[in-house]
Amino acid sequence: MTRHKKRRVSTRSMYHWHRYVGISAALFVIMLVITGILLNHTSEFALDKRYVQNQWLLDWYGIAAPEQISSYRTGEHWFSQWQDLLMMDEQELGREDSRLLGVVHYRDMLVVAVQGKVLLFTKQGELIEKLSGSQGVPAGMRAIGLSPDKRVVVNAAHGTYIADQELLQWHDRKVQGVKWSAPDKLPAPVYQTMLELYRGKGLNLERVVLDLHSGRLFGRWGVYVVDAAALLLLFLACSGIWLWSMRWLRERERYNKPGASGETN
Amino acid sequence: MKIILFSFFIVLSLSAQARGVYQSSQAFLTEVFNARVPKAAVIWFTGDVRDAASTILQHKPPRLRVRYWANTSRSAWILEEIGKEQPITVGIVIESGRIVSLKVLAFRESRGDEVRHDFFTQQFRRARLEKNLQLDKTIDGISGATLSVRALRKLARLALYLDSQRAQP
Repeated sequence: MTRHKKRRVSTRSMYHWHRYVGISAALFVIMLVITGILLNHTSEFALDKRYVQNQWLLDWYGIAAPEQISSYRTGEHWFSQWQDLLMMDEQELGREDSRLLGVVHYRDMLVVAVQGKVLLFTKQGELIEKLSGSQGVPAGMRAIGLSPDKRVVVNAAHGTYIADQELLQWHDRKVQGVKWSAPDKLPAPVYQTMLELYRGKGLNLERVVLDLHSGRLFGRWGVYVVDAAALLLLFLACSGIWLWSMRWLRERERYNKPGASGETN
Repeated sequence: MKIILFSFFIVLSLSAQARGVYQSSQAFLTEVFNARVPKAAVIWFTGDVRDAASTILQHKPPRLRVRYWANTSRSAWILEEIGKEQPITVGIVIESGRIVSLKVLAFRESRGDEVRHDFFTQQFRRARLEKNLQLDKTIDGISGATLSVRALRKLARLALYLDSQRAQP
């Protein structure tokens, strides 16, 4: 008899714990389920291609202007590279890891030199062509400029090279009087516009969801809290199984008791 | 035993490497034109050409012009298209409006590189472009390489279309 009383007390208290832990963990469970499903379908939701614009969140992540920004002016256009983001005036031209070396205005094109490549853009910022060593761009480019007769010239590791009219071939030639593209400081309004563009592409949604899921969004302590939530969920699973098995045993005992099935001697 | 183990790991590492550069553009052109590579020319993606290219590629052409090399008998095109996530570089040779050869020059995806083998690419030989911008022959797909196969079909059609638009040398 004492044995039955002890088990009932233990089951009741376990049931209470299960309930309270369940309520406590509910919010975490909802958060983990939502972020987990989102992460499972990163491609479908394009989380890596959608960027956070919220200023508070960008400040929280410390998304700020890089220390080194290289900028060049050609005509009325400003070109600038912020880490790997290439921008022209108020628009981004794309990601480019190679260092920006200079920009010249040639015919209707804007010719942008980065290390190892020459990028051709329209004045509206549309990509015309990307030229690399495969297209004959000289190795070890250091600078780009215009010759006195307005042809594109690059200063490379093995000398000076001048491009043909269509920028299809490069010829090794000594050219005098080249006007080389030189870096320039961005005026304040252009800097501000580019800063907003840069910050707007600095943090993608996938990163935020990952950090929320792991708790890292709130630093080291956020991770500990999520760990604790995981332990609570583990407790819920174990206590749930325990409660179910206790109930199952009780049902079985009741069924096996003499007279329970209606049998008589 | 050591030789067997060594060979096993070599084979394993080879089979795990789907991506690679199989031939440089320059080497491809040298092979196609027997070392007498003509001067490059360009076609601009504007107007009707842009519209047709967009129809073939199912997206806007990624750049505004493409270069090609042509002599009196053949033209060579080096084009790129995204398979699943990375671009596949393909060299295509055309004579009299038919594909003479199609070669994968660089494959950057982690899987699906079966498309670079002859058993697949030789299907494109003698293919023409019909008026509806489709190939005049069926190209069999490869399980597990659907997107790569699709990319190569698009590039074959695009090369044939652009060849029909180029000025004769």
